[in-house]
Amino acid sequence: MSYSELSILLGGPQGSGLETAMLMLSRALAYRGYGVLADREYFSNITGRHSYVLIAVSTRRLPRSLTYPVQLLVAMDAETIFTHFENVDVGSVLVYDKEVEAKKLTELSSMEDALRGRISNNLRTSMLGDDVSSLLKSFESRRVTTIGISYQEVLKELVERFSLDPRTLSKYVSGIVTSSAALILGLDREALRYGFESVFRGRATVVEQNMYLADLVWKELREFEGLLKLKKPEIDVEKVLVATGNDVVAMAKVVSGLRYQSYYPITPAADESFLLEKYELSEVGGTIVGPIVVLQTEDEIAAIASAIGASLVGARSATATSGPGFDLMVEGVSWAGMNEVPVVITYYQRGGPSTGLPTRGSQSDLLSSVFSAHGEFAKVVLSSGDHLDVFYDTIEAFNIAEKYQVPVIHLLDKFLANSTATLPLPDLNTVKIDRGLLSKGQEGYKRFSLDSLVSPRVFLGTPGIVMWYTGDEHDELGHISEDPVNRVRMYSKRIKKLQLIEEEVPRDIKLRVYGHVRGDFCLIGWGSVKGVALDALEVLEKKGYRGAYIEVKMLWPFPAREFLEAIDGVELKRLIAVEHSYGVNIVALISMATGLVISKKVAKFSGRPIVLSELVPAVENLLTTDANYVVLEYGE
Amino acid sequence: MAEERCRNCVYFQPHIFFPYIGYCDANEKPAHEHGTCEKFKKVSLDELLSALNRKGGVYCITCGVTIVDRSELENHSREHRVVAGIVFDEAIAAEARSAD
Repeated sequence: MSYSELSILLGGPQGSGLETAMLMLSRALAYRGYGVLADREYFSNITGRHSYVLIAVSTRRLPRSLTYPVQLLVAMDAETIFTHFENVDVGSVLVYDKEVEAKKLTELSSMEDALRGRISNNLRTSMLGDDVSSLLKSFESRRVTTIGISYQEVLKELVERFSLDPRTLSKYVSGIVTSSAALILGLDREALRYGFESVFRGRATVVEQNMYLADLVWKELREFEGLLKLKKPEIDVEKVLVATGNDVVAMAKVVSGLRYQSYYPITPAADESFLLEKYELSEVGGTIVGPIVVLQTEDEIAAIASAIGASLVGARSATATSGPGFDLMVEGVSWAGMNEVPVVITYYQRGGPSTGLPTRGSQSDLLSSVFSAHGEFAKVVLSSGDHLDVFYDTIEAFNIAEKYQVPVIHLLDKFLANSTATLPLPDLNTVKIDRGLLSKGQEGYKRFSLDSLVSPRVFLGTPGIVMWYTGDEHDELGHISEDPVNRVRMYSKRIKKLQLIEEEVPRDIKLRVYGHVRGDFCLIGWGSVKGVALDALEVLEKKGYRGAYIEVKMLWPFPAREFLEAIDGVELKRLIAVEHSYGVNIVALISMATGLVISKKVAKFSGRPIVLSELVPAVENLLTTDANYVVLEYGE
Repeated sequence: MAEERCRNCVYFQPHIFFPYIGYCDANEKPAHEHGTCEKFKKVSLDELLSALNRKGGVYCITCGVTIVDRSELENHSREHRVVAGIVFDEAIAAEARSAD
């Protein structure tokens, strides 16, 4: 039997090679033409707690969503088996470390008591013992093939063969995980080698050691080769990128001509800046085309302030942060609004309030970002639905910022940031850089000229040109002014840019419609909801429900006209809003902008991603019962 | 009486996640928990106390925590596996993301 689509879960202690295994397997699969989407779930402590990677693999397309149950579970430790034994499909495969068979639930020191209690109750209810061997026996009734391999023996042989430093063990444990998964999926040795080489680039010895290890694993597990064999891939994409959302933002910022990026390290934003730091010097054809200065500032206040400063002197400028960091930035955002400074804030949402769930996903900062900062001024909040959109939208965020001289918040989230996806290579021929209305200035230059809503911009430091910037209200030159007539004109100028943006920004950047709007239902969402919503449309159509997904991309100014056009003729009761939050806050924004009150909502605020297997029944529930609010909770 | 295996030897520093493999301080080379050698020296509370005083901390493999005082050590060592030193994996920095 062979498979078109599979769900895979790799689990183990954080810091033990799981991330590496995910990358190696994803790249090996991509090398052979399969589509991959992998979400990494991890604790906010430094090491040792249970992490896992949920992977969707497809032979037919680039996956857009994740789903349960899984057909392949590869466990580095006992905690993975206890935590995920209910996520495993009938007829699936479990690869585990033989040495943990005697391990009891009570011996897992890194497991949170609440989870231990839930698992313990489930085991009691199912009349199962509290050790791994009892779970392994229970898998028999679910026709799960359990494959034990002694990680210890394999590692021992490797350590002895190569006199390995034990400090490097995780590089090889990840090799066991990757090799066993590759064998079961029917991947060949060359693809596996590619996976190793792409992760251990420039470290040929480590690659060879991992290949030796793979041979040991394959010899041991030979009888299971191709047990979950993937069908021949049919994806019509010549080349793909394998990248996280963080990576894609960084790449897009380089393409957009970014010259200054500031940050204070925060999950899940920091990886973007770390990647940019690697490419501070951009070289094209042997020529350095200009450095990107990436500065780790002392805090987020300095990050936004320095990004504003860089923008004033003419650099394409950005900062990246998450909720707690953005809270510190809002005074700077207000200053940027007052001074019409084009600056991009890449905002990766995570679970709040406060430090909340630092490594878990959320979309609960929608209203916080739209209504951030005191006073009234024009700013733009833009969202992206998937990795490819992230690329183009990042560039668009700079274009909008500079064209209208406003701060732009590019609102992403942890799911996009930390998930690794195969995506088509972005078409750079379609990329346009718009730096807006620039001027070299002249005598009497007025930075805030009232002749037009967007005043020609001269960079600070241009010889012979003088301008003034202040947080206070100012006149056309930038001098402080409390004159009421000037106040009305200046204040209105800044705010009226919102109308200009509403009129000029193309519809495709504001809002997209997928599927049949006048069908049985219409999902409404934004950001990372897109993939799972689109897949839900397909599944629901097979069940007899025709529907659509309206993706609101530009969240502020809210595209009210386009939204109303999109839902024209659709009964209000057919609209279902979906969001990673408690309040499903897009509903409030829609209500404010259009007067429509959407009552049907799907919410998830456990910090785990919305998976297809839970969204479909939730929508069905809303369509067939009087329920108005469904809370999704699947996933540990 | 504990077997004279690396697992029970004070010189054996297990890997933080995979404690069956580690480093032998006496032989200055990788070691496996089932290994044996003539330098074997049984882990004892006295040895652990000495390591605690010398290094400022020992490690409880069972709980996955660092022990930094004598009373904690006495409590853990009654029923848990406590070792004088631990091998941290060099990939931890790359694998475990910052989570401030």
